[in-house]
Amino acid sequence: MPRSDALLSVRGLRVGFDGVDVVRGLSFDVLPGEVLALVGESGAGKSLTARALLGMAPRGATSAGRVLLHGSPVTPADWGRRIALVPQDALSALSPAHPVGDQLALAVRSVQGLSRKDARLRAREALSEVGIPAARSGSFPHEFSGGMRQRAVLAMALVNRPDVVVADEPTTALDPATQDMVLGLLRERCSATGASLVLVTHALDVVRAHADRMAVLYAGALAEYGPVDRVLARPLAPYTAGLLASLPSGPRPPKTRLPVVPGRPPAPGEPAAGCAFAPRCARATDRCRTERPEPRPLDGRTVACHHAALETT
Amino acid sequence: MTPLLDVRDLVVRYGAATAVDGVSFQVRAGETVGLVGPSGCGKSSTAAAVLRLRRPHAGEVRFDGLELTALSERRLRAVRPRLQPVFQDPYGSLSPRRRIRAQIAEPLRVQGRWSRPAGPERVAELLDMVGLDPVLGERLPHELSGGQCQRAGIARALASAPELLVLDEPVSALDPSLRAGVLNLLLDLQDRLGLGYLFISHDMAAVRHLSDRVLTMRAGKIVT
Ligand code: SF4
Repeated sequence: MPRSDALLSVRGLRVGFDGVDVVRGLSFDVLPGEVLALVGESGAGKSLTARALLGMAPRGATSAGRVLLHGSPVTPADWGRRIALVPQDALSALSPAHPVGDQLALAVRSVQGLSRKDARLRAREALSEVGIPAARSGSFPHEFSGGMRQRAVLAMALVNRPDVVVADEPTTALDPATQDMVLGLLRERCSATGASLVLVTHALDVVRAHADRMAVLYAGALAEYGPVDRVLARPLAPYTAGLLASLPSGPRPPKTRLPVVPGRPPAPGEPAAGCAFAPRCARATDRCRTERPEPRPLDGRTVACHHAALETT
Repeated sequence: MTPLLDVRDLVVRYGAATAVDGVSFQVRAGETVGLVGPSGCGKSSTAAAVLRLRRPHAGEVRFDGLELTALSERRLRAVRPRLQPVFQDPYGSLSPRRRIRAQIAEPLRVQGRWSRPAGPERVAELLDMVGLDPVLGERLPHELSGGQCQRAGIARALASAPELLVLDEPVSALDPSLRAGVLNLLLDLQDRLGLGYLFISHDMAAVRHLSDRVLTMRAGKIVT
């Protein structure tokens, strides 16, 4: 059952191509005003999930499952308006051929029945909300500095005052200081308007710095899902634990070998039965190889693993 | 002992802008020196000057005692194999249309070290050295995963029998669970071959983990 206090609820989401599911039955909730990180490696299905929330699944993709906003199914009218995207290739969100203010005003007019004048006012307001002087609304993207362009992209996502902003690895190409600035600003804008933020990322340090809760995806399914501090301090799913242990940031002498999760993630369609992580998991048993673990509550979070347990030592 | 790499008072300018402003450091054989700093701090320009991808405005780059900045491109050709770059984008640094084994063989051919059966054997050995099954040599880059492709790029760099690797964000494009494996590989290769590494990255955790010394650049200067 979706949580009654959830803003956005995803239930049993499947997205696939040619009958092969890449996202294999995913359920999670986004609470009002929170930052939820969707974490996973390439191919885990996190970007596809993000796109599905926005009705932007790629051509040829099939999808099933439910996406609910305030308890009602999301409709195409919500896309871009109540749910907005900050895309991976952030700068592609801006057209080089038109002044930034015009692009924002157009985005407003395409979803809200505002007059030209009101749309232009809202566009100027959206720019100043991200720290760009409204006087610059007549400038073209190339006339902005790199940092301003990044902020203009945020203004584009925020201009229609969405309930949920989905940011798909918006900062991977930036250095850490700029990354923090862009995400910090996005977070601040979301909390100022009461919007929730879904942050799609593979970087656990970004999660640590910016998210409240995290959903760890492996091979299109949930591995572990809960408060960031809890999961990072004491991961209970073997995949999460392996991932965290392999980070070079741990307390260990320099130049020692890092613990590696053996093998590689399965290709779509490859995990036939059982737990998708079983071939790489040191704790796998016969049961893991035949029966898919269902997500279950454990220690204030959700874990999809037959053998995860709180060891009492 | 002569350091492998000895950079003195390096200055790199782009037009009126000074990207590198009097940088000096050394890298010894078997040692890793990390170079960190925000975008635009000059670390990549420093790497480019060390690799002689561009001629610095002033200063010296000595490799094994040899002053590179003064060398003609023809004389440089003899030195280039000994210092090899490994770049961030594993797919972008390999040719998309040629099989992996042909790309690893290329440095051997160019340097006149190719023969049969020793050449193909060396390619298989290099693949094995970077933890790739030699059958993967038959593949094209897009048929490999990101981690495998980065390993193939390292194998190609090793084919030149280098003494110094300039690693420019070598693991930044990799997923966390693959990154650890490539970092371990770099540590193993250094132990085995005594390579010197100049490791440039904004991944502080990876740099600290791999480096004997870390230099921080800001606005073209080394600040620590
Ligand atoms: S269900 Fe089994 S194989 Fe999967 S993560 Fe848990 S212990 Fe490992």
